[in-house]
Amino acid sequence: MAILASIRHHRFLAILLLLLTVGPAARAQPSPEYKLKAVFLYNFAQFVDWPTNAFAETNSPLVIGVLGKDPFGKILDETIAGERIKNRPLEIRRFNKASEVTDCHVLFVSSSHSQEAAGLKGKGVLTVGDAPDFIEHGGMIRFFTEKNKLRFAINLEAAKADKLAISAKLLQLAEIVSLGHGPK
Amino acid sequence: MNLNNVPIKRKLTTVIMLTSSVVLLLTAAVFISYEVITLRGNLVRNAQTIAQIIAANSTVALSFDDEKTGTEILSKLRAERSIVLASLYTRDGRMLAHFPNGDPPSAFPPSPGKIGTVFEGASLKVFFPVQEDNKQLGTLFLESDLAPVYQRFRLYAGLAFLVLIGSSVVAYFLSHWLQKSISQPILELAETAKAVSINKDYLVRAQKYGNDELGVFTDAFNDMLTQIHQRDAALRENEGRLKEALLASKTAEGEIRNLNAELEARVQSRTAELGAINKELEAFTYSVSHDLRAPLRHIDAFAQILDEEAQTSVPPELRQYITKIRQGAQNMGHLVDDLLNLSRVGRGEMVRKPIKLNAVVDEVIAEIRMELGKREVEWRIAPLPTVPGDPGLIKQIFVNLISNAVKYSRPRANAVIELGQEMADGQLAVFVRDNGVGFNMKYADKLFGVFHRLHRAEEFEGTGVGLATVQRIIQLHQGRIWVEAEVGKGATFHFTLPGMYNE
Repeated sequence: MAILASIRHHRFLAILLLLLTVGPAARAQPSPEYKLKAVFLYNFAQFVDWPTNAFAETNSPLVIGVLGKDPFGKILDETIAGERIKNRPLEIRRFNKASEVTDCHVLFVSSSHSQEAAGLKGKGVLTVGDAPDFIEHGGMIRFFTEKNKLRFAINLEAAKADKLAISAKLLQLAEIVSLGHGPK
Repeated sequence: MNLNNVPIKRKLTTVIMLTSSVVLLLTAAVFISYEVITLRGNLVRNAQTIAQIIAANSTVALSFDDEKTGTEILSKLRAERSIVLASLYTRDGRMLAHFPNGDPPSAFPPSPGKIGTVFEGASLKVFFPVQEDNKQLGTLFLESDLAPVYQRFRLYAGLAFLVLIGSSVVAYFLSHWLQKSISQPILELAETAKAVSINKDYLVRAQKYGNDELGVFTDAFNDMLTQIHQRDAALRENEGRLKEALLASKTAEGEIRNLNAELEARVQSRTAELGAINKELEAFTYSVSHDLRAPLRHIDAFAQILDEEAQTSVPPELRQYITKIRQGAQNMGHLVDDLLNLSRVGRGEMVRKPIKLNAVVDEVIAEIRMELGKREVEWRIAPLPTVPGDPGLIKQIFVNLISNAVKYSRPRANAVIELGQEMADGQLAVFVRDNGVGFNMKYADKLFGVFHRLHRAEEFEGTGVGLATVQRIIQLHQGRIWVEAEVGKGATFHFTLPGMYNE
């Protein structure tokens, strides 16, 4: 009886956790999950090298953008506040359409706009999204959760096509995928 | 350590052994110290290199807070067998991953320590910063087990000890063999010196082994022996000569002694003869004086009768002759008395008892006063000492000296005669002083001779025997008499008598 109750109790907890962690993206109030994702976005910028022409000047800011509905709220701004990457200041920009995206280096594409990822190709932007079909739509990094842990998959070919050099260290953590082969 | 009384062989061996051991020990110490320092440096460098590589690979794990990746990276340390523990800490000090994964987290430091390298017991601990883009993402901890290293040190120490033992043994035999070249000539010299000093054989020679300092020493030693031998021979010769001379001088000494003895015997016999003659002379003087007295008394007595009888009948010129006869007889009687006194001194037994001189002086003055008549004499008598002596003889001294003083101060209206005591040459002395006519000190030495007179009899009567008698008495008592005088001012007689004392 006690075991059964324990199992039931665990299942309930698991569901609760699932609801909390992989909750709908379109939430006004940022969840702990997005706090982590904000940190990840910042970390991605650390382990990726852009071609020199991606920046106007050597000290031009590294821009982290959000396309579509912003799930982070203030968290993203708080995460990067005062930080620098490779001696560049960080800047947040928010876009409503893919066509608006310019001078951006890391772009979080909200699930509502994941279909527009293909339109960002050739702009030298590291695209990050959390829609299950984000890679299929031409995205480069997709968040997913495995064993209650936030992970990410990288489409190395897409990144290489945009001349983005992703550090081997980052690849260590990632699940490498090719187009047409989604994460298991 | 005192090596002074150790045989030279052992001394040399000890010196060589000690030197080689110390050199070896120092070498081993330096070598091992160098090894330890180098090895420690290498260990630190090695650990830091490993830490650097692991830290560089851990950035992403720390960035993404990825325990799995962190564990994976740390697990690569399996290839590095010296690393026994490793752990990764996030920026806020939480342990993210550890190696070996099987160990409980409690085996690791709960939080990162100060960046740096620390030797702790048998392990080396490294805290290394994990940085990406100059930002510290966390800390890496590595612990290296030094047991194998220390084992190596122990092996070194063991080896050094074995080398020390082995080289000591080799050094012992080597030194035993090598020291012979030094000790052999010295021992030989010592043996020779011993033989020389015991047997007094200066013909033995020490064997020379080479031309080093010891060879020079051996030569010098042998030369010295030659010289000693020569000197010894010369000494023996001299000794012989000296003995002869000694014998000769002994013979001479004997002769001298014989001569001396002979001389002494002769002196004794002469002295005896002289004494006999002296006695005869004294006896003669005595008998002559004694025999002369009787006829003199007769002359005087009959002259007196003649004078009394002739008072009326004989003319005055004749009576004057009679008076002259009586005076002559009386003078002669005095002379004979004095001579008898002189010859009596030294005859017969001398008595010795303490005599108070003041008493004697008072007695003498009392006797003399009766003869003074109307003459005034001022007596100044100081306290006088007591003297051991013959009362009769001592009185004679004062009788003569005081009567002399009275006599020679006669021309003075205010005659002063003084008696007192004084110190002369550290001895107690008595003096008799008058302010009489005195005399020339030129004749002082004649004063004490018999019949020597410094004044004419017409001026001062006297026989010239008194002072001779005084001197005789004083000499008999082993005393001394001397005089000071000046013409017209008086004379002072001083004398000492042994044993004089003040009561």
